[in-house]
Amino acid sequence: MIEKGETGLPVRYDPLLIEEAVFLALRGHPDAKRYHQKRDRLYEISDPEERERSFQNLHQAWFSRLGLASQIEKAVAERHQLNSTVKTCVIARATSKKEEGAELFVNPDEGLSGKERRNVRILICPESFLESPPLLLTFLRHELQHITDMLDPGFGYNPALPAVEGGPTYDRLLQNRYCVLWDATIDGRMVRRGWAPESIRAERLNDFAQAFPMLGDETGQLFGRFFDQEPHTHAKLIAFARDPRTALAGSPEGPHPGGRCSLCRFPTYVFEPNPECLPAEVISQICQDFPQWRSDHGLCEQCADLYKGRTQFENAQFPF
Amino acid sequence: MSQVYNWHLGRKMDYPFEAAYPKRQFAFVFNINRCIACQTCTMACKSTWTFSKGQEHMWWANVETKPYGGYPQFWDMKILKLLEEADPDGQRWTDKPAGNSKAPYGRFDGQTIFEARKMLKPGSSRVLGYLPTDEEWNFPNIYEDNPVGKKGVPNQFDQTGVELPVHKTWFFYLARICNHCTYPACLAACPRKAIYKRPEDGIVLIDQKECRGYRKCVEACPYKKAMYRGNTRVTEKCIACYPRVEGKDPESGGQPMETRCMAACIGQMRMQGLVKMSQDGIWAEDRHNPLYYLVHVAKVALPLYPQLGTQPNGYYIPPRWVPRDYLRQMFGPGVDGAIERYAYPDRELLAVLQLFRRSNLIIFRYEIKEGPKIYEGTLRGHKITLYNDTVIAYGQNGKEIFRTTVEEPIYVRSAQHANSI
Repeated sequence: MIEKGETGLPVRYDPLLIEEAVFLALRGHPDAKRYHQKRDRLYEISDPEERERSFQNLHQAWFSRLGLASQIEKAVAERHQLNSTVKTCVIARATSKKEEGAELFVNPDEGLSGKERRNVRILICPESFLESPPLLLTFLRHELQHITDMLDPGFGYNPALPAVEGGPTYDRLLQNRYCVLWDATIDGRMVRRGWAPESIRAERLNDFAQAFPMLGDETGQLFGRFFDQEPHTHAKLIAFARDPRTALAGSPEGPHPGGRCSLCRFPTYVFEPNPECLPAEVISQICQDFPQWRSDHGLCEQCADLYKGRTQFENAQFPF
Repeated sequence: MSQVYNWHLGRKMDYPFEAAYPKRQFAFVFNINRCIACQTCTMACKSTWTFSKGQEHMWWANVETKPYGGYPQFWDMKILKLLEEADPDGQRWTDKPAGNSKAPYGRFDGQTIFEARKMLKPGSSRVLGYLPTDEEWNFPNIYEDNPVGKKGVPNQFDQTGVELPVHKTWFFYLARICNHCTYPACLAACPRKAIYKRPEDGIVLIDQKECRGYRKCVEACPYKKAMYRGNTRVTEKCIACYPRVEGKDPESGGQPMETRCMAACIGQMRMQGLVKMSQDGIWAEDRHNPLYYLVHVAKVALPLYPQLGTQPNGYYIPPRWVPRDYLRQMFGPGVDGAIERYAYPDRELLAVLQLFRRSNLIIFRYEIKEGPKIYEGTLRGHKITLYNDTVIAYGQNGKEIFRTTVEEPIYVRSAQHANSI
């Protein structure tokens, strides 16, 4: 079934979601009896297709009558950009709260126009329609802002996150950090527009502090750069998520706390303090293994110990 | 509201309809001590009755790990909490379990789900209950091997589920089907009277032509064994494999046969039967019916959450290793005596326990032929004597179904066998 949003963007509802939302909304409702009287009669229709159609029509009518679609219509209508960039918006049933959210699907068929290729799907639990309307609206606005960012050339969204040195664990870490940053920028914008309560700042700050524990005392100030300022780009968010310190300093060169040792490539906070003062034999040993290495590249204490030990071993006088 | 007698509670209670009892009652005993949660029963039921479109979330028979598992999730915690809210600190038993078959577990002075309905709105509601969410229905056995939840967050497991199984404490497997209750909450709640109890065997069924999907039964059944099917828009439930119970299965030879879940039990922990009912709702004395013996004579099998008030017809031999407080909440005050008798079985109980799963036909009567003494000793300070008695099972037609002995027979293969050492 198709319903037109105020913007003209077609919004399609999953019949199962509508039916369940109507059923839950009418529990204990004064109109429940009237609804059941109408619904009961549909069981008598013998043709299965006609019966199914009748059930869907009934639930659609009650969905509108109960005003359950109003928050969705409002949230979609606010996003004028979607009208010119997206073909349809599908509202489907989520099986759990964790599953709720919006996704942008792009058809790989390049023969279609950009708009024809794009569809938005929003997953919602039927129970969410019964919660407070402002809460549902805030959720929808947040999710649709993600979609709007994805479609904004200025944001420069790229669905494939860059490969990270360190393997799948770091891929996941990058993804989580990126989500935290993006959510912070979105909720910051929503607060400024009066679409979200101020209290949301504390929630996002908490997420930020957990995602970037290495920032210490600077956490609040750095969080403000994302929550309070705009515009943001995908590339900048990724850069900060990959390496917060480097992204802030603007210089990827040289050893810095949390950076990687130029020899073993493990992240470290303890670099050899004066690599240029290492004995010449030790530097020579390192250069045998890493011909490109220079003392200003730095090295971690463990690597320094390893090469010092190796040099001592080779110089040792053994009695046998 | 009328008053009916509930012998599990040892008193009369409110129920929306006048009492009416079947001639015989579908009943079963599950020995929890033997269940290994292999889920063979679950799949036997699924592959027979609930394999179609729209039934994906339905598990009429299921096995859940207690205390942290549940299908739907948290079903028992939620209904117990509702009752506690309705009757704070009043859900108590008085009197001690006695030999009296009208009140074998003492007297329950708290409120049943029919009596606690008064806290509900609208006032016309007949049963205290709740409607589980999709999430609670959709994931049977989720996190059951990962019981660690967040501290201070009730009714919720760890959301990431990344912990390896940590069984920090005791657990056991609880196999469940519809209890075909004597006072069904689903029947009481149905606004269309689409649910009925068969007069011949007490099996509770939903008339699929009458059901209009109000889901009042789903809300009311405290054991959550009525399940709504979205694509047909009617509710379905366990039908106790009634064609088998009626002896219509070709394999049964016309004799009443146990359900699919019973017959499939690998652990041999299930026995199902049809017990005689008196006109006052108590089981009629039938001394040599194995179920009557286990429930009313040996008193080792106890009803599941009797305090809910539906007088369920599923009985459980409680697990020996579980803290008694938990078991008393789950099975009532008869737990201590039941475990004592099961742990140190007498001569007759030991023989009757051999009847489990030796045949798929329903046993109506058993007889014991005494055999020689085969062991004498002590177990945890108790004197134990074993006799190799023979127990004989008879069907509805009075014919012998099988006979078996207490001591498991040993068969010695011939030395010329291909695999002989």
